[in-house]
Amino acid sequence: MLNDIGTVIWKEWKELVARSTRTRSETLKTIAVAAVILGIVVWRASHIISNPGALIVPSFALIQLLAGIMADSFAGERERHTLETLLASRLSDLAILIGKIAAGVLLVWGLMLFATGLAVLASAIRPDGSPASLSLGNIVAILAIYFLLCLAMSCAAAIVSLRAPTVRQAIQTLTWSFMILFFIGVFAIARIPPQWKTTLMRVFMGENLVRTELIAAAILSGLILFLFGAARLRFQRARLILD
Amino acid sequence: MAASVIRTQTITRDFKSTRAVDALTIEVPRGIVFGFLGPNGSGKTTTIRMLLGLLEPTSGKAEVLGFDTVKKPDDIRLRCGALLEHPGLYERLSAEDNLQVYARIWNMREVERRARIKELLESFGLWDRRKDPAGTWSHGMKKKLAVARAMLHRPALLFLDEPSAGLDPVAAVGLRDELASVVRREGVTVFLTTHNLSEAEKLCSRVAVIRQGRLLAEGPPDQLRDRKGTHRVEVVGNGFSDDLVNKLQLLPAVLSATQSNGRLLLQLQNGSKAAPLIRLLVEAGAEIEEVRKEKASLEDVFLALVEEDRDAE
Repeated sequence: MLNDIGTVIWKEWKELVARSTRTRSETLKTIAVAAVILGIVVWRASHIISNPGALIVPSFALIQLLAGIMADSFAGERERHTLETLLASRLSDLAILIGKIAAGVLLVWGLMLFATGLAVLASAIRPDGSPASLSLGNIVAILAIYFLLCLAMSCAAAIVSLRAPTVRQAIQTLTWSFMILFFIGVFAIARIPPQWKTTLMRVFMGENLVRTELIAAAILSGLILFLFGAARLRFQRARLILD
Repeated sequence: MAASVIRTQTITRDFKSTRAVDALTIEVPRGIVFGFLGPNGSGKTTTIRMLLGLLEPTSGKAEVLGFDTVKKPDDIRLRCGALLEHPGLYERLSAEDNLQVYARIWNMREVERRARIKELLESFGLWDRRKDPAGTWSHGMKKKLAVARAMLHRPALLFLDEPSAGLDPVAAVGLRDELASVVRREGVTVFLTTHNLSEAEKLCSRVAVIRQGRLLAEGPPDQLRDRKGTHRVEVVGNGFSDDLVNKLQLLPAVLSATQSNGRLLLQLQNGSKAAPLIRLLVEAGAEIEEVRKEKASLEDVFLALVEEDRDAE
Protein backbone atom coordinates (compact mmCIF):
# COMPACT_ATOMS: atom_id res chain seq x y z
CA MET A 1 0.00 0.00 0.00
CA LEU A 2 2.75 2.48 1.01
CA ASN A 3 4.64 1.59 -2.14
CA ASP A 4 1.56 2.30 -4.26
CA ILE A 5 0.95 5.63 -2.51
CA GLY A 6 4.60 6.49 -3.18
CA THR A 7 4.13 5.65 -6.86
CA VAL A 8 1.08 7.92 -7.15
CA ILE A 9 2.96 10.76 -5.41
CA TRP A 10 5.93 10.27 -7.77
CA LYS A 11 3.62 10.35 -10.78
CA GLU A 12 1.81 13.49 -9.60
CA TRP A 13 5.08 15.35 -8.94
CA LYS A 14 6.53 14.24 -12.24
CA GLU A 15 3.46 15.61 -14.05
CA LEU A 16 3.55 18.84 -12.05
CA VAL A 17 7.18 19.44 -12.93
CA ALA A 18 6.48 18.62 -16.58
CA ARG A 19 3.53 21.04 -16.55
CA SER A 20 5.60 23.88 -15.05
CA THR A 21 8.55 23.37 -17.40
CA ARG A 22 6.75 22.48 -20.61
CA THR A 23 8.21 25.44 -22.52
CA ARG A 24 11.21 27.68 -21.91
CA SER A 25 8.96 30.63 -20.97
CA GLU A 26 7.03 28.48 -18.46
CA THR A 27 10.31 27.30 -16.92
CA LEU A 28 11.54 30.92 -16.63
CA LYS A 29 8.20 31.96 -15.12
CA THR A 30 8.38 29.18 -12.51
CA ILE A 31 11.97 30.10 -11.62
CA ALA A 32 11.09 33.82 -11.45
CA VAL A 33 8.13 33.24 -9.12
CA ALA A 34 10.22 30.98 -6.85
CA ALA A 35 13.06 33.56 -6.81
CA VAL A 36 10.70 36.44 -5.87
CA ILE A 37 9.08 34.41 -3.04
CA LEU A 38 12.44 33.28 -1.67
CA GLY A 39 13.83 36.80 -1.99
CA ILE A 40 10.94 38.21 0.09
CA VAL A 41 11.36 35.44 2.67
CA VAL A 42 15.09 36.17 3.05
CA TRP A 43 14.57 39.97 3.01
CA ARG A 44 11.82 39.92 5.64
CA ALA A 45 13.22 36.94 7.58
CA SER A 46 13.46 38.61 10.99
CA HIS A 47 10.01 40.14 10.63
CA ILE A 48 8.50 36.75 9.69
CA ILE A 49 10.19 34.98 12.60
CA SER A 50 9.22 37.62 15.17
CA ASN A 51 5.63 37.99 13.97
CA PRO A 52 3.38 34.96 13.36
CA GLY A 53 0.89 37.20 11.52
CA ALA A 54 3.50 37.70 8.79
CA LEU A 55 3.19 34.01 7.94
CA ILE A 56 -0.43 34.47 6.88
CA VAL A 57 0.40 35.87 3.44
CA PRO A 58 2.81 33.11 2.29
CA SER A 59 0.65 30.42 3.87
CA PHE A 60 -2.45 31.75 2.09
CA ALA A 61 -0.58 31.91 -1.23
CA LEU A 62 0.57 28.33 -0.77
CA ILE A 63 -2.96 27.20 0.11
CA GLN A 64 -4.10 28.73 -3.20
CA LEU A 65 -1.37 26.74 -4.95
CA LEU A 66 -2.57 23.59 -3.19
CA ALA A 67 -6.16 24.27 -4.28
CA GLY A 68 -4.95 24.57 -7.88
CA ILE A 69 -2.99 21.33 -7.69
CA MET A 70 -5.86 19.42 -6.13
CA ALA A 71 -8.44 20.84 -8.57
CA ASP A 72 -6.41 19.20 -11.32
CA SER A 73 -5.97 15.90 -9.49
CA PHE A 74 -9.12 14.09 -10.66
CA ALA A 75 -10.90 16.60 -12.90
CA GLY A 76 -7.68 17.15 -14.88
CA GLU A 77 -7.12 13.44 -15.37
CA ARG A 78 -10.73 13.03 -16.43
CA GLU A 79 -10.39 15.91 -18.88
CA ARG A 80 -7.17 14.49 -20.35
CA HIS A 81 -8.69 10.96 -20.53
CA THR A 82 -6.01 9.42 -18.31
CA LEU A 83 -8.26 8.63 -15.36
CA GLU A 84 -9.93 5.52 -16.77
CA THR A 85 -6.58 3.90 -17.57
CA LEU A 86 -5.37 4.64 -14.06
CA LEU A 87 -8.57 3.18 -12.62
CA ALA A 88 -8.13 0.05 -14.76
CA SER A 89 -4.72 -0.56 -13.16
CA ARG A 90 -4.02 -2.65 -10.07
CA LEU A 91 -3.93 0.39 -7.77
CA SER A 92 -6.50 0.33 -4.98
CA ASP A 93 -8.99 3.17 -4.46
CA LEU A 94 -7.25 4.16 -1.23
CA ALA A 95 -3.78 4.23 -2.79
CA ILE A 96 -4.97 6.55 -5.59
CA LEU A 97 -6.90 8.84 -3.25
CA ILE A 98 -4.25 9.06 -0.53
CA GLY A 99 -1.47 9.37 -3.10
CA LYS A 100 -3.11 12.31 -4.82
CA ILE A 101 -3.94 14.09 -1.55
CA ALA A 102 -0.46 13.45 -0.16
CA ALA A 103 1.26 14.67 -3.32
CA GLY A 104 -0.30 18.13 -2.97
CA VAL A 105 0.07 18.33 0.80
CA LEU A 106 3.71 17.24 0.88
CA LEU A 107 4.67 19.65 -1.87
CA VAL A 108 2.96 22.71 -0.37
CA TRP A 109 3.84 21.91 3.21
CA GLY A 110 7.39 21.15 2.10
CA LEU A 111 7.57 24.59 0.46
CA MET A 112 6.26 26.19 3.67
CA LEU A 113 8.79 24.23 5.69
CA PHE A 114 11.55 25.30 3.34
CA ALA A 115 10.45 28.96 3.44
CA THR A 116 10.23 28.95 7.25
CA GLY A 117 13.61 27.22 7.55
CA LEU A 118 15.11 29.77 5.19
CA ALA A 119 13.60 32.61 7.22
CA VAL A 120 15.03 31.18 10.46
CA LEU A 121 18.42 30.76 8.81
CA ALA A 122 18.40 34.22 7.23
CA SER A 123 17.33 35.84 10.50
CA ALA A 124 20.18 34.06 12.36
CA ILE A 125 22.80 35.06 9.76
CA ARG A 126 21.58 38.63 9.24
CA PRO A 127 19.83 39.78 12.47
CA ASP A 128 18.24 43.22 11.95
CA GLY A 129 17.63 43.92 15.63
CA SER A 130 13.96 42.93 15.90
CA PRO A 131 13.25 40.70 18.89
CA ALA A 132 12.64 37.03 18.05
CA SER A 133 9.32 36.39 19.74
CA LEU A 134 8.72 32.91 18.29
CA SER A 135 10.50 30.00 19.92
CA LEU A 136 11.50 26.94 17.92
CA GLY A 137 8.66 25.05 19.66
CA ASN A 138 6.16 27.62 18.43
CA ILE A 139 7.48 27.42 14.89
CA VAL A 140 7.17 23.61 14.97
CA ALA A 141 3.61 23.92 16.34
CA ILE A 142 2.68 26.43 13.62
CA LEU A 143 4.11 24.12 10.96
CA ALA A 144 2.21 21.15 12.43
CA ILE A 145 -1.06 23.07 12.36
CA TYR A 146 -0.30 24.27 8.86
CA PHE A 147 0.21 20.64 7.85
CA LEU A 148 -3.26 19.79 9.18
CA LEU A 149 -4.70 22.82 7.41
CA CYS A 150 -3.12 21.69 4.13
CA LEU A 151 -4.53 18.20 4.67
CA ALA A 152 -8.04 19.54 5.29
CA MET A 153 -7.80 21.83 2.28
CA SER A 154 -6.49 19.00 0.13
CA CYS A 155 -9.34 16.63 1.13
CA ALA A 156 -11.95 19.34 0.46
CA ALA A 157 -10.42 20.17 -2.92
CA ALA A 158 -10.23 16.45 -3.78
CA ILE A 159 -14.00 16.15 -3.22
CA VAL A 160 -14.59 19.12 -5.53
CA SER A 161 -12.22 17.66 -8.12
CA LEU A 162 -13.90 14.23 -7.93
CA ARG A 163 -17.25 15.84 -8.71
CA ALA A 164 -16.19 18.40 -11.32
CA PRO A 165 -16.17 17.46 -15.01
CA THR A 166 -13.37 19.92 -15.82
CA VAL A 167 -10.49 21.60 -14.01
CA ARG A 168 -11.96 25.01 -14.75
CA GLN A 169 -15.19 24.06 -13.03
CA ALA A 170 -13.31 22.65 -10.04
CA ILE A 171 -11.31 25.88 -9.70
CA GLN A 172 -14.49 27.97 -10.00
CA THR A 173 -16.20 25.93 -7.27
CA LEU A 174 -13.17 26.23 -5.00
CA THR A 175 -12.86 29.99 -5.60
CA TRP A 176 -16.54 30.54 -4.80
CA SER A 177 -16.25 28.37 -1.69
CA PHE A 178 -13.20 30.36 -0.54
CA MET A 179 -15.00 33.67 -1.07
CA ILE A 180 -18.13 32.50 0.73
CA LEU A 181 -16.07 31.21 3.68
CA PHE A 182 -14.04 34.45 3.73
CA PHE A 183 -17.13 36.69 3.82
CA ILE A 184 -18.84 34.49 6.40
CA GLY A 185 -15.65 34.80 8.50
CA VAL A 186 -15.52 38.59 8.11
CA PHE A 187 -19.24 38.87 8.90
CA ALA A 188 -18.91 36.58 11.93
CA ILE A 189 -15.91 38.52 13.31
CA ALA A 190 -17.82 41.78 12.96
CA ARG A 191 -20.69 40.30 14.98
CA ILE A 192 -18.54 39.00 17.87
CA PRO A 193 -19.14 40.92 21.13
CA PRO A 194 -16.15 43.18 22.14
CA GLN A 195 -15.34 41.22 25.34
CA TRP A 196 -15.14 37.95 23.31
CA LYS A 197 -12.82 39.67 20.84
CA THR A 198 -10.50 40.71 23.68
CA THR A 199 -10.40 37.14 24.99
CA LEU A 200 -9.71 35.76 21.51
CA MET A 201 -6.93 38.30 20.90
CA ARG A 202 -5.34 37.34 24.23
CA VAL A 203 -5.45 33.69 23.20
CA PHE A 204 -3.89 34.36 19.79
CA MET A 205 -1.33 36.87 21.08
CA GLY A 206 0.38 34.44 23.41
CA GLU A 207 -1.61 33.55 26.47
CA ASN A 208 -2.43 29.80 26.54
CA LEU A 209 -0.83 29.38 23.11
CA VAL A 210 -0.24 25.66 23.61
CA ARG A 211 -3.87 25.12 24.55
CA THR A 212 -4.99 27.13 21.50
CA GLU A 213 -2.74 25.07 19.25
CA LEU A 214 -4.09 21.83 20.68
CA ILE A 215 -7.70 22.94 20.20
CA ALA A 216 -6.95 24.02 16.62
CA ALA A 217 -5.24 20.69 15.94
CA ALA A 218 -8.19 18.75 17.36
CA ILE A 219 -10.73 20.73 15.30
CA LEU A 220 -8.67 20.33 12.13
CA SER A 221 -8.18 16.58 12.75
CA GLY A 222 -11.95 16.10 13.09
CA LEU A 223 -12.51 18.12 9.92
CA ILE A 224 -9.89 16.06 8.06
CA LEU A 225 -11.51 12.78 9.13
CA PHE A 226 -14.90 14.03 7.97
CA LEU A 227 -13.61 15.36 4.63
CA PHE A 228 -11.49 12.27 3.93
CA GLY A 229 -14.48 10.03 4.67
CA ALA A 230 -16.58 12.09 2.26
CA ALA A 231 -13.86 11.88 -0.43
CA ARG A 232 -13.58 8.11 0.11
CA LEU A 233 -17.35 7.74 -0.34
CA ARG A 234 -17.24 9.83 -3.49
CA PHE A 235 -14.38 7.80 -4.97
CA GLN A 236 -16.21 5.08 -6.88
CA ARG A 237 -14.65 3.71 -10.04
CA ALA A 238 -17.94 3.24 -11.89
CA ARG A 239 -19.09 6.73 -11.00
CA LEU A 240 -15.77 8.30 -11.98
CA ILE A 241 -15.83 6.58 -15.37
CA LEU A 242 -19.46 7.32 -16.16
CA ASP A 243 -19.33 10.93 -14.94
CA MET B 1 -7.24 -22.41 -13.58
CA ALA B 2 -10.11 -22.54 -16.07
CA ALA B 3 -9.38 -23.20 -19.76
CA SER B 4 -11.52 -20.19 -20.65
CA VAL B 5 -10.10 -16.86 -19.60
CA ILE B 6 -13.42 -15.07 -19.95
CA ARG B 7 -16.80 -16.58 -19.25
CA THR B 8 -19.97 -14.49 -19.08
CA GLN B 9 -23.45 -15.76 -18.29
CA THR B 10 -26.26 -13.53 -19.53
CA ILE B 11 -24.65 -10.32 -18.32
CA THR B 12 -26.82 -7.29 -18.78
CA ARG B 13 -26.08 -3.65 -18.12
CA ASP B 14 -28.69 -0.91 -18.10
CA PHE B 15 -28.10 2.84 -18.01
CA LYS B 16 -31.40 4.27 -16.83
CA SER B 17 -33.79 3.28 -19.64
CA THR B 18 -31.07 2.23 -22.10
CA ARG B 19 -29.88 -1.38 -22.24
CA ALA B 20 -26.21 -1.23 -23.23
CA VAL B 21 -25.49 -4.96 -22.94
CA ASP B 22 -28.28 -7.48 -23.19
CA ALA B 23 -27.91 -11.00 -21.75
CA LEU B 24 -24.47 -11.52 -23.23
CA THR B 25 -23.04 -15.01 -22.93
CA ILE B 26 -19.57 -15.63 -24.31
CA GLU B 27 -16.55 -17.76 -23.59
CA VAL B 28 -13.02 -16.85 -24.59
CA PRO B 29 -10.44 -19.66 -24.68
CA ARG B 30 -6.89 -19.08 -23.45
CA GLY B 31 -4.15 -18.00 -25.85
CA ILE B 32 -6.20 -16.61 -28.73
CA VAL B 33 -7.04 -13.19 -30.13
CA PHE B 34 -10.79 -12.88 -29.64
CA GLY B 35 -12.53 -10.27 -31.77
CA PHE B 36 -15.54 -8.52 -30.31
CA LEU B 37 -17.20 -6.87 -33.28
CA GLY B 38 -20.04 -4.44 -33.41
CA PRO B 39 -21.10 -1.08 -34.76
CA ASN B 40 -20.60 2.10 -32.69
CA GLY B 41 -22.72 2.11 -29.56
CA SER B 42 -23.28 -1.64 -29.60
CA GLY B 43 -21.97 -2.17 -26.04
CA LYS B 44 -18.35 -3.17 -26.69
CA THR B 45 -16.76 -0.65 -24.31
CA THR B 46 -19.37 -1.32 -21.63
CA THR B 47 -18.58 -5.03 -21.89
CA ILE B 48 -14.85 -4.38 -21.41
CA ARG B 49 -15.56 -2.14 -18.43
CA MET B 50 -17.67 -4.88 -16.85
CA LEU B 51 -15.03 -7.52 -17.53
CA LEU B 52 -12.39 -5.32 -15.86
CA GLY B 53 -14.65 -4.87 -12.84
CA LEU B 54 -14.97 -1.13 -13.45
CA LEU B 55 -18.74 -1.39 -13.90
CA GLU B 56 -21.05 -3.88 -12.26
CA PRO B 57 -23.54 -5.73 -14.43
CA THR B 58 -27.20 -5.01 -13.73
CA SER B 59 -27.76 -8.77 -13.87
CA GLY B 60 -25.86 -11.90 -14.86
CA LYS B 61 -22.40 -13.10 -13.94
CA ALA B 62 -18.95 -12.87 -15.46
CA GLU B 63 -15.63 -14.49 -14.65
CA VAL B 64 -12.26 -13.33 -15.90
CA LEU B 65 -9.22 -15.57 -15.34
CA GLY B 66 -11.38 -17.49 -12.89
CA PHE B 67 -12.26 -14.41 -10.77
CA ASP B 68 -15.75 -13.03 -10.37
CA THR B 69 -15.87 -9.52 -11.83
CA VAL B 70 -18.02 -8.19 -8.98
CA LYS B 71 -16.39 -9.96 -6.03
CA LYS B 72 -12.73 -9.94 -7.13
CA PRO B 73 -12.17 -6.98 -9.47
CA ASP B 74 -8.74 -6.21 -7.96
CA ASP B 75 -7.49 -9.73 -8.77
CA ILE B 76 -8.64 -9.28 -12.36
CA ARG B 77 -6.99 -5.88 -12.81
CA LEU B 78 -3.78 -7.24 -11.31
CA ARG B 79 -3.50 -9.81 -14.11
CA CYS B 80 -4.86 -7.83 -17.06
CA GLY B 81 -3.61 -5.07 -19.30
CA ALA B 82 -5.94 -2.63 -21.00
CA LEU B 83 -5.96 -0.11 -23.77
CA LEU B 84 -9.31 1.59 -23.32
CA GLU B 85 -11.27 3.97 -25.51
CA HIS B 86 -8.57 6.67 -25.20
CA PRO B 87 -4.81 6.00 -25.12
CA GLY B 88 -4.75 7.58 -21.62
CA LEU B 89 -1.17 8.83 -21.93
CA TYR B 90 0.35 11.58 -19.82
CA GLU B 91 1.04 13.89 -22.71
CA ARG B 92 3.48 16.13 -20.87
CA LEU B 93 5.64 13.18 -19.87
CA SER B 94 8.06 11.47 -22.20
CA ALA B 95 7.21 8.07 -23.64
CA GLU B 96 9.76 6.49 -21.32
CA ASP B 97 8.27 8.21 -18.26
CA ASN B 98 4.78 7.13 -19.29
CA LEU B 99 5.96 3.54 -19.20
CA GLN B 100 7.97 4.17 -16.01
CA VAL B 101 4.78 5.32 -14.23
CA TYR B 102 2.96 2.10 -15.07
CA ALA B 103 6.01 -0.10 -14.50
CA ARG B 104 6.12 1.31 -10.95
CA ILE B 105 2.39 0.76 -10.58
CA TRP B 106 2.93 -2.89 -11.54
CA ASN B 107 5.70 -3.13 -8.95
CA MET B 108 8.40 -4.03 -11.44
CA ARG B 109 11.97 -3.85 -10.18
CA GLU B 110 14.33 -1.21 -11.55
CA VAL B 111 16.43 -3.55 -13.73
CA GLU B 112 13.41 -5.45 -15.04
CA ARG B 113 11.62 -2.14 -15.65
CA ARG B 114 14.38 -0.70 -17.82
CA ALA B 115 14.83 -3.90 -19.83
CA ARG B 116 11.11 -4.35 -20.45
CA ILE B 117 10.59 -0.72 -21.48
CA LYS B 118 13.48 -0.96 -23.95
CA GLU B 119 12.18 -4.26 -25.32
CA LEU B 120 8.66 -2.95 -25.90
CA LEU B 121 9.67 0.44 -27.29
CA GLU B 122 12.01 -1.30 -29.73
CA SER B 123 9.32 -3.82 -30.72
CA PHE B 124 6.94 -1.01 -31.62
CA GLY B 125 9.67 1.09 -33.27
CA LEU B 126 9.44 3.91 -30.72
CA TRP B 127 12.82 3.65 -28.97
CA ASP B 128 14.47 6.53 -30.83
CA ARG B 129 11.84 9.01 -29.68
CA ARG B 130 11.52 7.77 -26.11
CA LYS B 131 12.60 11.12 -24.61
CA ASP B 132 9.99 13.19 -26.48
CA PRO B 133 6.81 14.20 -24.66
CA ALA B 134 4.03 11.82 -25.69
CA GLY B 135 1.85 14.83 -26.57
CA THR B 136 4.12 15.66 -29.51
CA TRP B 137 3.65 12.23 -31.09
CA SER B 138 1.29 11.24 -33.91
CA HIS B 139 -1.96 9.47 -33.09
CA GLY B 140 -0.59 6.17 -34.39
CA MET B 141 2.54 6.38 -32.24
CA LYS B 142 0.44 7.19 -29.19
CA LYS B 143 -1.70 4.12 -29.82
CA LYS B 144 1.41 1.95 -30.10
CA LEU B 145 2.76 3.41 -26.87
CA ALA B 146 -0.55 2.72 -25.16
CA VAL B 147 -0.45 -0.90 -26.34
CA ALA B 148 3.14 -1.18 -25.07
CA ARG B 149 2.02 0.20 -21.71
CA ALA B 150 -0.80 -2.35 -21.53
CA MET B 151 1.68 -5.19 -22.16
CA LEU B 152 4.35 -3.90 -19.78
CA HIS B 153 3.72 -6.30 -16.91
CA ARG B 154 3.22 -9.34 -19.15
CA PRO B 155 -0.51 -9.65 -18.44
CA ALA B 156 -2.31 -12.96 -18.89
CA LEU B 157 -5.13 -11.16 -20.69
CA LEU B 158 -5.04 -8.00 -22.75
CA PHE B 159 -8.10 -5.85 -23.46
CA LEU B 160 -7.77 -3.67 -26.54
CA ASP B 161 -10.67 -1.33 -27.19
CA GLU B 162 -10.62 -0.19 -30.81
CA PRO B 163 -6.81 0.04 -31.06
CA SER B 164 -6.84 1.26 -34.65
CA ALA B 165 -9.72 3.74 -34.31
CA GLY B 166 -8.84 7.11 -35.78
CA LEU B 167 -5.66 5.87 -37.48
CA ASP B 168 -4.94 6.29 -41.18
CA PRO B 169 -4.76 3.00 -43.15
CA VAL B 170 -0.93 2.91 -43.15
CA ALA B 171 -0.71 3.49 -39.38
CA ALA B 172 -3.51 0.99 -38.75
CA VAL B 173 -1.73 -1.73 -40.75
CA GLY B 174 1.57 -0.90 -39.00
CA LEU B 175 -0.05 -1.17 -35.58
CA ARG B 176 -1.83 -4.39 -36.52
CA ASP B 177 1.32 -6.08 -37.79
CA GLU B 178 3.41 -5.07 -34.77
CA LEU B 179 0.60 -6.05 -32.43
CA ALA B 180 0.25 -9.45 -34.10
CA SER B 181 3.97 -10.12 -33.82
CA VAL B 182 4.22 -9.05 -30.15
CA VAL B 183 1.08 -10.98 -29.18
CA ARG B 184 2.41 -14.11 -30.91
CA ARG B 185 5.78 -13.79 -29.17
CA GLU B 186 4.31 -13.21 -25.70
CA GLY B 187 1.50 -15.75 -25.98
CA VAL B 188 -1.02 -13.43 -24.38
CA THR B 189 -4.79 -13.81 -24.76
CA VAL B 190 -6.31 -10.73 -26.37
CA PHE B 191 -9.88 -9.46 -26.17
CA LEU B 192 -10.07 -7.05 -29.09
CA THR B 193 -13.04 -4.82 -29.82
CA THR B 194 -13.16 -3.29 -33.25
CA HIS B 195 -15.36 -2.30 -36.11
CA ASN B 196 -12.42 -2.65 -38.48
CA LEU B 197 -13.36 -6.01 -39.96
CA SER B 198 -10.28 -6.59 -42.06
CA GLU B 199 -8.24 -6.10 -38.88
CA ALA B 200 -10.40 -8.67 -37.08
CA GLU B 201 -10.15 -11.06 -40.01
CA LYS B 202 -6.34 -10.94 -39.93
CA LEU B 203 -5.83 -11.01 -36.17
CA CYS B 204 -8.64 -13.02 -34.62
CA SER B 205 -9.05 -16.75 -34.42
CA ARG B 206 -12.52 -16.38 -32.91
CA VAL B 207 -15.03 -13.54 -33.12
CA ALA B 208 -18.33 -12.50 -31.61
CA VAL B 209 -20.67 -10.05 -33.30
CA ILE B 210 -22.93 -7.86 -31.20
CA ARG B 211 -25.50 -5.23 -32.00
CA GLN B 212 -27.38 -3.11 -29.47
CA GLY B 213 -25.83 -5.21 -26.72
CA ARG B 214 -27.12 -8.51 -28.11
CA LEU B 215 -24.90 -11.32 -29.31
CA LEU B 216 -25.71 -12.08 -32.94
CA ALA B 217 -23.13 -14.75 -33.67
CA GLU B 218 -19.95 -16.25 -32.28
CA GLY B 219 -17.27 -18.60 -33.57
CA PRO B 220 -14.14 -18.82 -35.74
CA PRO B 221 -14.31 -16.39 -38.71
CA ASP B 222 -14.26 -19.29 -41.22
CA GLN B 223 -17.18 -20.96 -39.52
CA LEU B 224 -19.14 -17.72 -39.47
CA ARG B 225 -18.43 -17.20 -43.14
CA ASP B 226 -19.65 -20.72 -43.93
CA ARG B 227 -22.69 -20.35 -41.73
CA LYS B 228 -23.82 -16.91 -42.69
CA GLY B 229 -22.00 -15.80 -45.75
CA THR B 230 -22.73 -16.21 -49.41
CA HIS B 231 -20.20 -17.18 -52.08
CA ARG B 232 -19.31 -14.86 -54.87
CA VAL B 233 -18.36 -16.07 -58.35
CA GLU B 234 -16.90 -13.77 -60.96
CA VAL B 235 -16.98 -15.03 -64.56
CA VAL B 236 -14.98 -13.19 -67.24
CA GLY B 237 -15.88 -13.76 -70.89
CA ASN B 238 -18.38 -12.88 -73.66
CA GLY B 239 -21.98 -13.61 -74.55
CA PHE B 240 -23.69 -12.91 -71.21
CA SER B 241 -27.00 -11.79 -72.65
CA ASP B 242 -29.77 -10.25 -70.55
CA ASP B 243 -31.89 -13.35 -71.14
CA LEU B 244 -29.14 -15.54 -69.80
CA VAL B 245 -28.67 -13.36 -66.72
CA ASN B 246 -32.43 -13.42 -66.05
CA LYS B 247 -32.44 -17.19 -66.45
CA LEU B 248 -29.61 -17.50 -63.92
CA GLN B 249 -31.43 -15.30 -61.43
CA LEU B 250 -34.35 -17.72 -61.37
CA LEU B 251 -32.18 -20.62 -60.21
CA PRO B 252 -32.52 -21.49 -56.50
CA ALA B 253 -28.72 -21.61 -56.04
CA VAL B 254 -28.32 -18.00 -57.23
CA LEU B 255 -29.08 -15.06 -54.97
CA SER B 256 -28.22 -12.43 -57.55
CA ALA B 257 -26.66 -12.13 -60.98
CA THR B 258 -25.35 -8.94 -62.58
CA GLN B 259 -23.16 -8.32 -65.59
CA SER B 260 -21.12 -5.42 -66.89
CA ASN B 261 -18.16 -5.04 -69.28
CA GLY B 262 -17.81 -8.74 -69.93
CA ARG B 263 -17.92 -9.65 -66.24
CA LEU B 264 -20.71 -11.68 -64.73
CA LEU B 265 -21.05 -11.48 -60.96
CA LEU B 266 -23.00 -14.23 -59.21
CA GLN B 267 -23.92 -14.34 -55.53
CA LEU B 268 -24.55 -17.96 -54.60
CA GLN B 269 -26.44 -19.51 -51.74
CA ASN B 270 -24.22 -20.92 -49.03
CA GLY B 271 -23.06 -24.43 -50.03
CA SER B 272 -24.02 -24.07 -53.69
CA LYS B 273 -21.58 -25.22 -56.35
CA ALA B 274 -20.41 -23.07 -59.23
CA ALA B 275 -19.70 -25.89 -61.72
CA PRO B 276 -23.34 -26.55 -62.84
CA LEU B 277 -23.79 -22.83 -63.47
CA ILE B 278 -20.65 -22.64 -65.58
CA ARG B 279 -21.87 -25.64 -67.59
CA LEU B 280 -25.19 -23.86 -68.14
CA LEU B 281 -23.39 -20.75 -69.36
CA VAL B 282 -21.27 -22.72 -71.81
CA GLU B 283 -24.31 -24.62 -73.06
CA ALA B 284 -26.10 -21.29 -73.61
CA GLY B 285 -23.23 -20.18 -75.86
CA ALA B 286 -21.20 -17.95 -73.56
CA GLU B 287 -17.41 -17.89 -74.03
CA ILE B 288 -15.66 -18.17 -70.70
CA GLU B 289 -12.08 -17.04 -70.17
CA GLU B 290 -11.80 -17.01 -66.41
CA VAL B 291 -13.80 -18.06 -63.33
CA ARG B 292 -12.96 -16.75 -59.83
CA LYS B 293 -14.73 -18.03 -56.74
CA GLU B 294 -14.49 -15.97 -53.55
CA LYS B 295 -15.72 -16.74 -50.09
CA ALA B 296 -17.72 -14.04 -48.35
CA SER B 297 -15.55 -11.75 -46.26
CA LEU B 298 -16.09 -11.19 -42.57
CA GLU B 299 -17.46 -7.82 -43.57
CA ASP B 300 -20.16 -9.50 -45.67
CA VAL B 301 -21.01 -11.78 -42.75
CA PHE B 302 -21.09 -8.86 -40.34
CA LEU B 303 -23.32 -6.78 -42.58
CA ALA B 304 -25.62 -9.75 -43.19
CA LEU B 305 -25.95 -10.37 -39.45
CA VAL B 306 -26.64 -6.72 -38.67
CA GLU B 307 -29.14 -6.50 -41.53
CA GLU B 308 -30.90 -9.67 -40.38
CA ASP B 309 -31.10 -8.35 -36.83
CA ARG B 310 -32.46 -5.01 -38.06
CA ASP B 311 -35.11 -6.79 -40.12
CA ALA B 312 -36.10 -8.93 -37.14
CA GLU B 313 -36.90 -5.82 -35.04
